Amino acid sequence: MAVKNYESIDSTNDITNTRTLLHEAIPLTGTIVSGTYGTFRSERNIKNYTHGQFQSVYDYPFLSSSANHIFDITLGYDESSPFSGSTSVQNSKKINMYNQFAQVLLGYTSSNSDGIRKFENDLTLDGNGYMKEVFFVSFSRLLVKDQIKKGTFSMTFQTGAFTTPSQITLSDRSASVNGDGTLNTDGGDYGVLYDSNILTSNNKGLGAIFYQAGIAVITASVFASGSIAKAANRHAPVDFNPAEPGYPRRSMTGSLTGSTISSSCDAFRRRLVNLSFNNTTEINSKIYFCRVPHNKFNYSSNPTYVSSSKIVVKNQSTDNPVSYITTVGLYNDSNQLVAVAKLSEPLKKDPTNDITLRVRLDY
Amino acid sequence: MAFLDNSGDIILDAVLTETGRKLLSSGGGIRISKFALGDDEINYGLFDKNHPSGSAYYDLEILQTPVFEAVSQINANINYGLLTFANKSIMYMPEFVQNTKDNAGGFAMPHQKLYYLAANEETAAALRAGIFNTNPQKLIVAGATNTAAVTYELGINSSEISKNSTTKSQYITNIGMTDNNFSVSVNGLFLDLVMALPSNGPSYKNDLTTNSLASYPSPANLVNAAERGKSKNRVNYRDFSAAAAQNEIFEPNGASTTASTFSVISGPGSSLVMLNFGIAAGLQHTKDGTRDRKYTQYGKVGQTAKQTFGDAVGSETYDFIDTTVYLSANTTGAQISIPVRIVRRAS
Repeated sequence: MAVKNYESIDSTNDITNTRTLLHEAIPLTGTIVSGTYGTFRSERNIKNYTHGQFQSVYDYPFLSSSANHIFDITLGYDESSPFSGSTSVQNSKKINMYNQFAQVLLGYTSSNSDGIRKFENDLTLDGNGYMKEVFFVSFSRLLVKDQIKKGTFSMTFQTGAFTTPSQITLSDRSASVNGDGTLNTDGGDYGVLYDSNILTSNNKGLGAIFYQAGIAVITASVFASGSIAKAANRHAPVDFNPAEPGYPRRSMTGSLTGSTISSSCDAFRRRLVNLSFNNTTEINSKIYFCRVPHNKFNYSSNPTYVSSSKIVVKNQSTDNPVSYITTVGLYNDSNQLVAVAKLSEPLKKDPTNDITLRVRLDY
Repeated sequence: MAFLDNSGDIILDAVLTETGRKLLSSGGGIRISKFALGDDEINYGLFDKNHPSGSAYYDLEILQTPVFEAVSQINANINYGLLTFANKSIMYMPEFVQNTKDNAGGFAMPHQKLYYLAANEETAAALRAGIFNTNPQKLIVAGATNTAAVTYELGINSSEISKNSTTKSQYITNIGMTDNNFSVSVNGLFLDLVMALPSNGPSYKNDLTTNSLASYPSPANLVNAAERGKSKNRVNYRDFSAAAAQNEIFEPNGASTTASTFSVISGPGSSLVMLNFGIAAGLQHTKDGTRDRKYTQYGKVGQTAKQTFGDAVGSETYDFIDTTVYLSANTTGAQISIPVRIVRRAS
């Protein structure tokens, strides 16, 4: 009711749109996903499901309201993988997992018998360099926001024997924010994950990162043993899953065929050393230029503005009136207050100055 | 040559109000087309015109005022606002002053700082016979034109300016400070009607020779004010447009009494606003009728006279609801909030 004076905002000259990309660094240490909140395989920040199709990782024991879901892990292989077979544990679920991710992220092709495009270790999707046995890491939108920033993703794993481990770091170092080094598919843009230590041109990809979907695909050959084609410098064969009470020692090959998805995810977590990326938040803003002319808004209806009806900021009538702005209200044609902006400190307004306040409304 | 300080670049982040969010969610868009400025945090009393260090220090304390964050509630942001007047030499601005002079007839008087609005004639009869027996000026009956009405004078309440037609022209009329239209905002949960003076009604005027009232408005002149719809700035409130009487009370020439006999404004008056209200359906039920749930939900029920009026007069009990009516002048932005207690006899 109080507002009596409005100033028009010209829709042509006083409003502009901007787009800003904000990035946050997301560093995750391996300790948070393995061993910090309980003993291995029974950590309180790891949630397993009765359906056994994937495992969820939280940053704090998940029964706490403070816990945030950070990513899911699962494992899958293509039906044509040599490990696919009726004797493999959770065989159909592993195939389903692979197909589900492949359908959503890569789409379909008439080149394959089942119609589903397979993951490859390059950007060509030409039917060569299939990754048929893979781990999937699906990051929460809480971390990814709108997308992972291209060229910032890296994941370090422990490889080799547990007693004499070495490390491999996978990164999307060939991708850049302008889209170079990536390919757009049904699931958005993806880049190839390479071993950071190998710079030769014949370096083969060991995974893929889908930036908008926030999904990393890691070939099981990173932890190669047995018949899985190894990356160039992998220590092989290795124990993927060391012997523990209730869990037999298994190689990667053995884990694919003989372990449940959850058990393989446990082993995967234990191999994870570090993980980092920058996320991206896209902010679309509308900036309103609120132009306050010299001859307007120099008086106030604030009750303290007068004392015994006399304007308190004047000694004599020839003094300039003065007001102090603390708030900008944005209104629609119906005089409804739809947005409010506040100044950090009062801003003096008198007839000797005009002011342009840039008010940004983010969407 | 030093660089200019350009750190004063002002970019503000805005937040959507509840109204803005509702408009966005409804798919219509917010369609911002205008802006207004507020200064609610400012206490202009801190402006020190006598600061010993000079004029650069006059507003030092004001400029250090911490400013609150924006909030999404519509009535917590700009309750007042900055005003535009073309004339830079305005020195005085009109303000509302409660007029309780009873010699003009019908100017209501608050009791314990509240205006008591009787919900029905049964309650009014109890009050006439009881607590307001000696002062009927304190009794306002909802929707009535034969009992007192809330009355406010608008004008320049400064003894520095003489109260005559010349100063009225100089300080009000000629500089565009005349208020003929007013906004009255009432809580629609409790009040559904505003009664005000018509624009062509009698003026409030004294005879300058005898200092007697030459003409004056009374509650009998009240008419229903036009409703403008839901308040844009207050939840549950409804806005009404009201007119007022011209305030032409001036200092008499040579009479033994002064203009203060009729006017509470020290300087020239601008107008005189008189108001009564109609209460929402259900609140008017007599003691044998159904008590509206609003008395229980928003007010107090079964209160003694002591609890209701502050004085133990009579054995009746009452239900009441306290509400605030907002009155503002459309030209000068002068505002006043009026505390009203809706009272109903309960037993």
